[in-house]
Amino acid sequence: MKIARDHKPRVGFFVTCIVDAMRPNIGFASLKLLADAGCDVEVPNTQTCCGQPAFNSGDDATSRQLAQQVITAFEGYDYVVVPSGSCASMIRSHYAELFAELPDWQERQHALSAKTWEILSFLTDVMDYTPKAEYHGTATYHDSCSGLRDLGVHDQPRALLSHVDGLSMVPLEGNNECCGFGGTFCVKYPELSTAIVGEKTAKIKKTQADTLLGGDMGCLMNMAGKLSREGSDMRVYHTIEVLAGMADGPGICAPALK
Amino acid sequence: MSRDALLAKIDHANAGRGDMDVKAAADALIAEPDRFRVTFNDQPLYDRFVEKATSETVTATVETLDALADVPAAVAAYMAARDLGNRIALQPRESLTALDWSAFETAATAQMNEVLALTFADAAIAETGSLVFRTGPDAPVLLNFLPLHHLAVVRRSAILPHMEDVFDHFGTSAADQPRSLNIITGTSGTADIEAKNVRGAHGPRFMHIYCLSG
Amino acid sequence: MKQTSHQFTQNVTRALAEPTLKIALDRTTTLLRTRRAKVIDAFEEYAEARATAQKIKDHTLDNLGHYLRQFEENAIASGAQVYWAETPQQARTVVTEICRAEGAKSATRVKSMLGEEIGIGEALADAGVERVETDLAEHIIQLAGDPPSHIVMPAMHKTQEQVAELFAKKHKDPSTEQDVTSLVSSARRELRPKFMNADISISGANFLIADTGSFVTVTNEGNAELTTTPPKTHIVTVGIEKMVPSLKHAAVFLRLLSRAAIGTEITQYTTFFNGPKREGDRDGPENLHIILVDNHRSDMLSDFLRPMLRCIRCGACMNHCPVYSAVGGHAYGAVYPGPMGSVLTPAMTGIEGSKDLPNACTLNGRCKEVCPVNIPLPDMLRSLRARQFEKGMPSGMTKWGLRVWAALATRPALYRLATAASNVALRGMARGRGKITTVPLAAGWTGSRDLPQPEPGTFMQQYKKGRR
Repeated sequence: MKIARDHKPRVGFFVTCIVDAMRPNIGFASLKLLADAGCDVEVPNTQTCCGQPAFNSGDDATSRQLAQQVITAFEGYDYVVVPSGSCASMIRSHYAELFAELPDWQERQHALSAKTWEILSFLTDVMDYTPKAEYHGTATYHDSCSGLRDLGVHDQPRALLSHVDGLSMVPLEGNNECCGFGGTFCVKYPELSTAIVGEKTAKIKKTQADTLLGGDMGCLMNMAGKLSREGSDMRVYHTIEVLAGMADGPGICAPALK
Repeated sequence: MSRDALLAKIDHANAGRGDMDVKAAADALIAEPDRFRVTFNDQPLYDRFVEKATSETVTATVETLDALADVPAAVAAYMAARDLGNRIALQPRESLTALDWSAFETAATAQMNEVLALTFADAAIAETGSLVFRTGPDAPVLLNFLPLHHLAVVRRSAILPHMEDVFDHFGTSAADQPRSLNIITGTSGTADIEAKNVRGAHGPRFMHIYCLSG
Repeated sequence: MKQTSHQFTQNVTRALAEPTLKIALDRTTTLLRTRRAKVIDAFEEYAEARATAQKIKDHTLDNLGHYLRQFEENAIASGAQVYWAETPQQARTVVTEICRAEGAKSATRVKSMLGEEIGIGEALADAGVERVETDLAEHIIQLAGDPPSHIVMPAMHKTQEQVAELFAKKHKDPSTEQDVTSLVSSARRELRPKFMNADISISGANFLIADTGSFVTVTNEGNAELTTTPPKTHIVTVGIEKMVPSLKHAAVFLRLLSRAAIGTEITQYTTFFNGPKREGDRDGPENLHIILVDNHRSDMLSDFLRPMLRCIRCGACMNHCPVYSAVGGHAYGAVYPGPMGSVLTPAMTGIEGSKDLPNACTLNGRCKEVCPVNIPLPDMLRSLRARQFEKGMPSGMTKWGLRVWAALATRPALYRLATAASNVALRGMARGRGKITTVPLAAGWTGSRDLPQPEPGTFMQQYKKGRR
């Protein structure tokens, strides 16, 4: 879907709770690319979390409250853009389940869900954006599950990364298999989560890549945390950091540059 | 809880959902079968059947014969090549028993460790390389399952495109059904140990098909 | 089998410590995934076939009362006797009574999950009947004394080496070689006489055909036909959701079942049964008994679990599940493992005794993606969590943590203060190393993974200060 535009689209940027707390660089890289792609970007101050942790824990009442908070904060924008397939999918694919019995909210929810985008697919499918960046390394790509299966994000990051000078990509065996993060799953069932991410890091190391890329900070943090614990010096970045030329700092879980 | 109470519970759970004309609604769902099944428009039925029957997963072998009368000699050759003796379990179907079996020791039923049986398939399915057997007094079930070597005769004209065509050909009502309709696609296999494919699990290890061109 | 779903986490610990289990699981699931992908890719009409299958099942469920009555009428007309069982106990009682009336001493059995569900082994033991499992995998686990660990490949947890050892010990005439072909031959020699001499045969059914009264079995081994033909009496135990309207509707599912389950276009043996032996027939059972089992299926019809009744028991969801692949089927502690089991177990045996099952899932969605009838398994697992939450089932840390987090997340200003404070705290723990190796109360994470050191200040703090 490519839209002819006679004005700059107004984008509400939803930073997500994990990026806000753990890796603001992803947020600033997003702002840079969105501006570069021709968007007017704002960051509403009343945002916190999309509600996914509550939703996946079965706490529908809290999820609904947070969904209403998100709808109210973002419904005035042309688009809501999120640097996470998982949070974007929560808003886009799952909010409807929360308002089945609240007809007065359904319309607002539906309108918001329809204009919410995961950032990599937004840049390609809506903004038709071509990045200019440089990164020296060989990267492999993990497709995070919600983005891949709920939103169909697969080709877009690869298309964007093909424009990055100095970067070569190698395929990851099981690129579409879960990394074992699963939000609250990873702390509720640490043994299972560890077993699953251990298989994932083994496959990542087998690629001989020096860099791991993906589109979801939760999954990246999980894989980077495991790789770091295993003593690997794999550089782990969110795709958006590479595309924005902002992957010059330490990767996720890597020591600060001296 | 009795039958009636269970059915009442089911009907209650389905209140407002059922179709007025159930059969029409069901038929409408499969009105255009080529949309949802494998199609092979340009490939002749026979070619498709042989390709599938002899494929890596089906593992049958196919031999073309001009006439039914050629079957005993072909069976003799098959057995001689494998040193299988001359006893065969022969389906007691007139088209087979009327042939000249004088060189063989024949039996109408299969023993527990029967080496070889010859049966006549009522139809074949090109889509999957399957043979279709309808039981009856002259077509018992076990002849197709007990032998190590299952030899089957099928007429080329009996190769139908899809399973649905088999149902249409023999009739789809309750009264049209044989006691047992066996759709057999190759040999007995198992993948129960580490998903490794092995032939001759409980039933035949070898299937050889005589396709009669007449 | 004895259900142990309530101690799922202990089962997981045990499974992960079992050295050969992961080897067995990897060898099998990897092959099954590859084969499935290949055969689905080659099936150009797959998407339409899957959508059609879903519509047929939904239509059949919508008219289930009609179809059950139609099936019963036709099955009786074909000479079968039809029984209705609301509970596993009722089904077992019917089986036991038939065995006693026949004076049966031995029974051969074709694997069916419904049989496991109702505890058919127990019913036969009650009737004093020796049970002989004829499916190769069921034969293996019967010799080993294990419950099944997969719905299509019940012995998936066993390596080839373990099977060789077991057969050498238990078979009368074991093969001297240990390759898979020799092992299969050994089982063939062991089981062949038992097929021929049993008094009763027991099978399930993969499909019931309403408008002919037929039932259908699919196997690759041919053991269904070998098992159910020689004995005088054949008992079929089958779930009421196995119904399809007609023979041609069944064809749609037969194209999907084997592709999804093991990656072949069709099973080797597909048989449509219609009644007992007829006049003049040289083989076949004289008596045919069909037991239609509910076991909470009628309850599932009236709530959000309804789509689960589409399930055709192919096992693709478990073959593609990261949790199943890590620990295997026994950890679930129930008849049905994997994603479909995590939905069915609470539905059939109660939500209290299986509280971990809906939660022990990353909601990655692969199971739904590979499901040949498009069952929204992740959505149902999440809805089961919501049902648990309504019942106040999350307790302790989970409940407390969620409450505190919710109180903050719904108050943006307070939330900013909390995240700013945690930023300082986490940075303190990282001590400039870029990573944090232990966090109080977060051992679940830091036990096996580092946590990244956050940047100085949250995104919102930095943004407010003017960083762009």
